[in-house]
Amino acid sequence: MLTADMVHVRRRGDRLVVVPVSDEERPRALELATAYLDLARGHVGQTRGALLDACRAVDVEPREQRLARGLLKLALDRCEFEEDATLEPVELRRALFTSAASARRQAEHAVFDRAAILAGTAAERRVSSDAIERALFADLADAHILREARLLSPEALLAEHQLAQLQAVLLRALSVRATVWSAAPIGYRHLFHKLKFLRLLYRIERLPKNAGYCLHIDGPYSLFESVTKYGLHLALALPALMACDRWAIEADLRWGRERRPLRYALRGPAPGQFPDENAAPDRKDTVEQLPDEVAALLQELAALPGPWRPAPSHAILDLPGVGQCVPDLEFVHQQTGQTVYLEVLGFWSRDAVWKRIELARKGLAEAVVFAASKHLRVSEAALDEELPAALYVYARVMNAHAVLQRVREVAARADGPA
Amino acid sequence: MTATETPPPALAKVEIRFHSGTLEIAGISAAFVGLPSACVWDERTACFRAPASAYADLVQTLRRLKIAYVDQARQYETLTAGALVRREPRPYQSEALGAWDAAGGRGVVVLPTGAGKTLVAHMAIDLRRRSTLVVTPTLDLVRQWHDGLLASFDVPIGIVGGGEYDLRPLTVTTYDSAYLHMENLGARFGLLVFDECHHLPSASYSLSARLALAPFRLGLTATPERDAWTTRGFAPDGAGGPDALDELIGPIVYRKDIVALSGDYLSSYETVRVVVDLSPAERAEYAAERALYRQFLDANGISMASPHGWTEFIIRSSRNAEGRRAFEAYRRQRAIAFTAPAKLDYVERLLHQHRRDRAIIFTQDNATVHLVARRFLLPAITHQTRVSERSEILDGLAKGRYTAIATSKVLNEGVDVPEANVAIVMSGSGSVREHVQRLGRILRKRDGKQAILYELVAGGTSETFTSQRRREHIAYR
Repeated sequence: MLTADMVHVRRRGDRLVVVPVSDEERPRALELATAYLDLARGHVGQTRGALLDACRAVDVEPREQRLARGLLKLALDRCEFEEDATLEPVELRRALFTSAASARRQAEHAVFDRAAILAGTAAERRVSSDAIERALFADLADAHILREARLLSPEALLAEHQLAQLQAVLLRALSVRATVWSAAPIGYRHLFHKLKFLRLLYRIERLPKNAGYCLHIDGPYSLFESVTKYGLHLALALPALMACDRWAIEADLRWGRERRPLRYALRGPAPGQFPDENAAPDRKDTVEQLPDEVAALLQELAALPGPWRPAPSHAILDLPGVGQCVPDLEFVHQQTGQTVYLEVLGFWSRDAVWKRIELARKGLAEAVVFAASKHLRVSEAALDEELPAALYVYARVMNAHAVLQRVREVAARADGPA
Repeated sequence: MTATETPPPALAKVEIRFHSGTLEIAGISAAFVGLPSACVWDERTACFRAPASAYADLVQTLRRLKIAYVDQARQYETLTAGALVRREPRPYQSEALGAWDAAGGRGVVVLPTGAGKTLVAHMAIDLRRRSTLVVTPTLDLVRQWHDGLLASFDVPIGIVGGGEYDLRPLTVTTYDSAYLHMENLGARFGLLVFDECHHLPSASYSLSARLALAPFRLGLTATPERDAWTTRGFAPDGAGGPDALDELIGPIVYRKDIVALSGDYLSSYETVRVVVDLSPAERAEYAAERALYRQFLDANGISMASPHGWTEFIIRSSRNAEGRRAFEAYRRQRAIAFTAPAKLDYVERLLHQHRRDRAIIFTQDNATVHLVARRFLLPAITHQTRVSERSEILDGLAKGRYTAIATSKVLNEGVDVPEANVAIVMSGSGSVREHVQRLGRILRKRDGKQAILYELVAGGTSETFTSQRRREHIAYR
């Protein structure tokens, strides 16, 4: 990842904008990327200091300094350095400096014969004095040897740099307001898993016309003070936000040494291509993104008669302080409009099932059927009968009739007509 | 009973949980207004939330309101045994402990370097007997506190920092590691000891104090006033003012200065300022490079006395070839002053003169440390030196295996080598604190010990002014 000072930004009023490499600058950026990658390749077996010296010698115009430092950082991130272990430096220093202290203590005149002490230590190790000089501080970072360079093509490095710039701005973020829409539940699940892993907190709002969700993301302490402590976590969450089919973020920043309050906005899939936020997504696309077993179930369910019409779901069912679930399908009763959701837990884990049970017990407002494989060794009786939720445990594949039966039961418990 | 003291409409049992440096108070509805002001309703998790540092206040309030609660937050222990080895405290150490205890176990003790602040902390741990986290500025101090606590309490001591993560009821860490890990560690300790606590009020470090629930807090320092506040009148990196220590730890509960304790409790000392002359060629080069650097500052209207002068110089000097030359000139004139051959020759003389003493050579930068280490074949300690080698070097100096070591800034604070009696300051900043701390390294009292600090200054260079600035302390008058 880049550091914040490596990002090329411009202020526009109260907004911070990342300046991407332009088409005119691209050939030169590729030249720089090529130079650093070639130098890294050519310095395998040499010291970090030598590689850095060579990289510093690359002619860089003043206005290219930031870009050059960023490309170099990303190239170096892909390099593996290791200490040269020919002579163990710590042990060598201890022996040499002990010997030097002893010689100095015994000297009656202010003559310190450095060469003699070096030669003595070299002779004990059967190496030259020069070898001792070289090995003396071989464990310092600049003396480390480049062992391996897992390098990309210049084009790929430049693409990585573009993304890294967008991400590094968030290192100075206080909070992020994200608008996301995912065709398949897996996009949301991945996002919430990531937020939980990063221990970020959020408030969630459903946007009108099924246009996705708005998340206000920050950290636990953000309630009391605007801090950039969660900036790294927010930056690490960006790829999960970007993995949603449609996304947009707006971040509050404290930028620069003066910690100037600025705002930062990004949207995807790519700048300028974000569709109308209020437009409902294309249902055909969403069916194609369902997992195979869910798509097969949907097809069977659609063929069954009755008032409950199944469709892919784009809902996030959230119970603050307890957790959330992201259903795969939703069933809408054609006469009453009542909705029941289905989340397929499949073979995930028993823990996931127990979390859903806790969610239902602690007051999840929506009616949900959770489908879990019998390999998870959970009983349908684990959920109390009065709750508007049910567990459907299946053997190999989900049965459309059995699912529909659970949907009717749950709908009845939720106080609606079956 | 007032409206605010009405028992809350309980949703379920009241529960306090520690979550990432904050306290979640579950089971009390949003409408309740009797909790301390630090507790705020959090819609994200549908519960009250407070900074972990509000723990003591919260618990006292719940008890006062007779609200039964389950405390899932507190994860610190009451130590089963106290110190096994108790050194006889000096009168001022007992007074300091008494003052801290009388303040409810929260406050700052100000004593000069070498006066035995560590013993006050050991006594405080022994008195309160709670799991304790000691927070120090450097890894050298982590190692030193580790060894000291081990000797007093004879239990395994944990270390967090420098590549180690070993949590124990008595643990030592650095300010940097505390900032990184307090979200996880904040519930594990009932007593926090902030060594060299003048570091704490910076924007990031202060957060670590707020993310910990420890009811008892002890700050130790010789110089509670930050240099920036005292000499420039501004707070660096968004830090709070000196009053911040009051909020984060507690008030200054005890204070004694270096002059009050010199002779009786600290070694007698003298300071010698040695002005070395540059050769004519060096002088000419210094003057030329300095002029080039100064011209650039003047031409760009940069004042290095201003808070952002250095940053401005870095930014502007990177913009064009003229700027880069000015930066090179800046480095070169500094290098001439820091490592003038006459200075190195004088160090050689001092090393011979004090060949049966224990000397610490201080420099301003790591490049000079390595230059000195190579030239005189002396052990070097920089931020890159691993903890085990640091221990070996300091032990070697204490036992006489080495007669001198070289270091830059990492030994400025707290590191305790009682045998060290000679300090040679080859170069340094204008910081009064740094200079006082460096003097403090050789003041630990031993029978018959006479400490001496040499300050080498390249005559006719900007070092003369820097030296005048850093000597503005009672210890140098």
